[in-house]
Amino acid sequence: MKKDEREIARILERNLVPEVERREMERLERQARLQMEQMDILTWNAFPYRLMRQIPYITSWIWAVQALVVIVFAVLLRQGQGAANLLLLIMLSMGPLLALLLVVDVARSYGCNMWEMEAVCRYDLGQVTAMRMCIVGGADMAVLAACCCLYGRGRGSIWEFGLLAVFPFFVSSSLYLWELKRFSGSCSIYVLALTGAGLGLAGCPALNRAYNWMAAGRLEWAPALTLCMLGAAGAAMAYHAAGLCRHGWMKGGESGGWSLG
Amino acid sequence: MEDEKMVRRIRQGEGELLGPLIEKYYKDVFRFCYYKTGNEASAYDCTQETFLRMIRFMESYVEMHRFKSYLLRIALNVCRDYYRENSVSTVPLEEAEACGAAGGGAPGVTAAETGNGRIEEACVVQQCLMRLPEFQREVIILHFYYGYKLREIAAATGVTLSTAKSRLKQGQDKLRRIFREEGIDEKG
Repeated sequence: MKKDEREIARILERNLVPEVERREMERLERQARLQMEQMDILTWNAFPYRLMRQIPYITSWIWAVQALVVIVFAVLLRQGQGAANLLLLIMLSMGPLLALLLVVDVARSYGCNMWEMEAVCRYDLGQVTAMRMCIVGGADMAVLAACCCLYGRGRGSIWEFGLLAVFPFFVSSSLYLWELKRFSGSCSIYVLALTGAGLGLAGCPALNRAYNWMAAGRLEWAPALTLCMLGAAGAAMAYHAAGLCRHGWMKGGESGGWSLG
Repeated sequence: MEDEKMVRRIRQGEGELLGPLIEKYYKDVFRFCYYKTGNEASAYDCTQETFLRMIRFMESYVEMHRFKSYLLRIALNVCRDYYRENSVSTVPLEEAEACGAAGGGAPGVTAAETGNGRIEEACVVQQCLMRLPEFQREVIILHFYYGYKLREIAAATGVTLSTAKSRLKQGQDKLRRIFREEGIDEKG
């Protein structure tokens, strides 16, 4: 502090503040408790509530691309045998990359300095990405479940669909969620993109082989195995999603768990 | 318990922790509101509103490790609203003369502890402070009573660094002039 500032500070120090009255403090405590009870604090702290509030911030082109993929997927399913199946397999194997559109969207808004304006400044990149993945993933799951039923009623068994479509979805989602949790702030779009590309490259031949085996009728044990794999992958995805929501996965700021109620 | 832990638990519904949190920061917030409003009753009202507003917007709190700054920022806005509602920005110095006698300045400070002279002096200093325009007064309070750096003042008051700097400079000049007018010895 400079000399002239010190002189002002010395005078200002003479300004005495009244002693705080205990009853005023107690009155405030009572009022604060009352207000908190009226606010139903647990509701707005709940994870589903937080997810709901993220929905308006998801750009419309994400939904448009998702819808387009679902439509193409449904058309390919209806066509059945031949070249269409190859397309279907390629598309399924590229499925993991679809989730990365969200990361691109979040990164885009971050890059355009829209971060604070989007009212999501309370969360970091990992948090926003994970929450949006949960939302879009949930919608995808609903569509996949519907497709699963249609496929089961139409041209194949439900377990076939589970193996070709739902299992890759579970595996890729749990991997992304694990990465977001494990690497937190340092989990950049490049890490996720690399994972997606790797899954896509490995997934295409694997799905192709599985499909050929099924077509050749060599997989008597496949339904039971598919069920086990789906159970394990689904449990892993749920575990990582819950871990991400509950524990200190947040970079900087808030490090507390969320109420999942 | 650390602030962030306490706030987190309150956010998860543990209302009984509000008591310790309020007790911890009540004096700081009250002190700020008193310096800002210059009136004990108004300071109590503003302090109460600050905490109630903090609870209302607790959900949006992210500045962990700086809870006090967060509270003071709310207090600043509450006091601004108070001035807006009451259409008062500065207080004429004549009130200072009645301050000590009426006990309107620092009534909670007992004469036995401090002496009447000090109470009157405190009243005069407070009234000098009240003669500053609101935007200069808040900068002076944050800088001299809370030790805020210019960057922190700029963030708390929502202005640019250069604006905060000029407000502090102008506030100091004006305060020094007021002190001289009132015969308060700067050399102590």
